[in-house]
Amino acid sequence: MHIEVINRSIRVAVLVPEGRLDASSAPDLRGCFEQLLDDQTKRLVIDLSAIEFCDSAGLAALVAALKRTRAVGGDTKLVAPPHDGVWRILRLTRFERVFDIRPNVDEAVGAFAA
Amino acid sequence: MMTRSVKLRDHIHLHADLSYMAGLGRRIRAFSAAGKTPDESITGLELAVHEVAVNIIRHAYADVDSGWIDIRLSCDDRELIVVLEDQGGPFDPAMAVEPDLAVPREGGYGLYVARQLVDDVNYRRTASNNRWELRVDRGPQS
Repeated sequence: MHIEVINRSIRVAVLVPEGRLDASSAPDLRGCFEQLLDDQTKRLVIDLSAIEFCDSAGLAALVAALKRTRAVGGDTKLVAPPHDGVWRILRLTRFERVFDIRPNVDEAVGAFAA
Repeated sequence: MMTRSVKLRDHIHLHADLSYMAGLGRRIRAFSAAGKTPDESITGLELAVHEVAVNIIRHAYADVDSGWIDIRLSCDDRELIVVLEDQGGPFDPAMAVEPDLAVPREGGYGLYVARQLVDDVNYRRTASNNRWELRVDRGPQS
């Protein structure tokens, strides 16, 4: 899975996974944010704008990012997915209430300063 | 007795490996679209079948190096049915417990999600096989 990582500021990293976020690719996302946590980056934005398909394992990876960052005093925010199917699984699991989901990267990064 | 004419059928013999899930999704979408299934039902069925297949790979075949999943699709005016059969270990009903949605967890949502997306999910253990049947009611077709 291709995941672009953009350091938007000293304290916030933006992860942009592409394509499918599923049981096959979720370990890539987990490895990516675990590496950032090891490097002391505690604030993450995971941009779902390029995700076309997400399953329960993909959601589990997002929840893992949320829990890991909060455990060290940080947080994880999401950029809203454009695909209805991705929204659907977020709603079915009520994860759309768990995450702070913003319409774009700028707002998601800015939310850390709020 | 009234007979029902099956208009479409497909059969997929799939190596039980996560790397084949994207291809499975394409086949499910193509079959559903050929049967003039509404888009929302197609995306729901694709995810439901995916979740059951991943469950088979991760749990039924957890103790073996490789396995196969036989997937049969059929579609008529009234319903779309996907049957997945494997020769792995039996399904543990304890995994069917509905998750507490008030407490986000890092797993345990797969079958719950599948059940929300189709009209029925049925599991049966035969002599040596697991048999999952997913059904989507199509309602009156124009």
